[in-house]
Amino acid sequence: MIAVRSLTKHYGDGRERMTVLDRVSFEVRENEFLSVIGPSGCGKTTLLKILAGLVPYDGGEVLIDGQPVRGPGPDRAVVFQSFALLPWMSVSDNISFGLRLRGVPAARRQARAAELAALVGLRGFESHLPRKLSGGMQQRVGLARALAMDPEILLMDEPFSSLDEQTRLVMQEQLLDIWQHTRTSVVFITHSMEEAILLGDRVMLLGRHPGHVQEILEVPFERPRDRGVVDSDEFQRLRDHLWDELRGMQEQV
Amino acid sequence: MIATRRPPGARSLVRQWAPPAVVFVLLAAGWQLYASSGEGNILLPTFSGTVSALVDLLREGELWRPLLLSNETMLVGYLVAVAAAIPVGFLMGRFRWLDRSLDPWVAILVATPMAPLLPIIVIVLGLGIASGVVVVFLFSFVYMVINTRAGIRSIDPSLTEMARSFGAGELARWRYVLIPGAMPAIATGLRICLGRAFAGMILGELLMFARGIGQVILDLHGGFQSASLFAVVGILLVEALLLAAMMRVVEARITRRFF
Repeated sequence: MIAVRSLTKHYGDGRERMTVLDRVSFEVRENEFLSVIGPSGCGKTTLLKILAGLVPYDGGEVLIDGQPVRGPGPDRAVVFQSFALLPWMSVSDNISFGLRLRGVPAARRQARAAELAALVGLRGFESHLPRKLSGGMQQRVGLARALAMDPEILLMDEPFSSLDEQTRLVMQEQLLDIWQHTRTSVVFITHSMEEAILLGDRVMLLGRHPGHVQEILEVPFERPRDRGVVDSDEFQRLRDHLWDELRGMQEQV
Repeated sequence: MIATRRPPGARSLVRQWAPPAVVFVLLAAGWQLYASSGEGNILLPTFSGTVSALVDLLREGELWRPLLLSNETMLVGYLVAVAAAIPVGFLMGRFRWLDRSLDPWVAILVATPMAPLLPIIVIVLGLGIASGVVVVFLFSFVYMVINTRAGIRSIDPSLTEMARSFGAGELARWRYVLIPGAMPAIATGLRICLGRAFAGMILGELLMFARGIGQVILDLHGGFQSASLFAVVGILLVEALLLAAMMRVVEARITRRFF
């Protein structure tokens, strides 16, 4: 589905050139949920933006269903850390924003927005403005907006980082539920080890200086999943392993 | 979450307006005392003298035509300035290279006092309405550009990124992100520039081309009719305040809609 081979990305040039991603290779299978975790500076957000087609890359290949990524496309949709909702549009208009850009007529847009609002638990809030919503609700709009495009791939850039802990936990459970329904492929960036293991089928650990793939772990828990798995020994083992690796990277600086 | 606001009750309105009203009364009283005492300049009118001159002027109705004339000039200059400045501000905010090229001119226009330019304008355009409009334009234009540009620059870059990710081209970005996003700053610019346009209207007429209300002021000044002069100035102050108050409401409405 997604094939990344030897992806390389630099910033700056000449003497000030910095390699942000160094020959990163991995795959994301059909309907797979890949968590991506790493210390700050490992290039995980850059990687996501490259997959989204928002940022060009300098070397290697990024293929989606065999086609190289050249820019944004209807097959991929992004959920942003800062929510990125348009403050002057209602919830419904925000959800259907991508559809509006594609020329979908208003009635159809409204219907689809209502569908998705219900899916993410925002039924009744369609005419609200974003400033009237809490952070968790705003991100649900962001998620609904991405899902409205029926994308094959969902790219999520630390979507729950801006939320308080309790809201995060709720959103994680919600996402697990929703994903059971839609089963798109997901690339989910996070800096939380628990979140990465809880949500993912696999966890890709990136190292930094320069950004590279350190390790890819299989997460052995079955679907449908809930928070119960957090208490298992296997979960703790995975988490401890991730923390060992990450702590080692932190100390490297 | 919405916080509902109760409409201001009578008591809070009084509390809001009492301090400025008290200051006004004190100033008027101080002025009256000073002017009547004979200490000051012989030409200085008293507060009561000014008020009665004001009443006379309003009753005679001679002020309306000059006021209308002047305000028409201001309106035309203001609208042309706004219509020209908004696109320039948009483009300068959006395209860095354009901003780099034009910014020195913006800086010059901001730094230059307009008064020395007036004789040049009159030489080129004569003493008619065109000069007045150009002066008002010059007073307002650059500030509208600056505010509009700031509006574009202040937009959260993740919004444009988001729009791109959903397939927005250049035009869609303008329509759905850049223009709505810049509206609060544009509204502020509209308010500031109306104030600037008003100043330009008066200064142009006073300093150069004796038209409209500027001519009235110059005539009264020449005829040593100081009470009437003060009265006319008072009227202009009131107009300035009314315009400012109106624009604040406009600005607040626009900002609420787009933010």
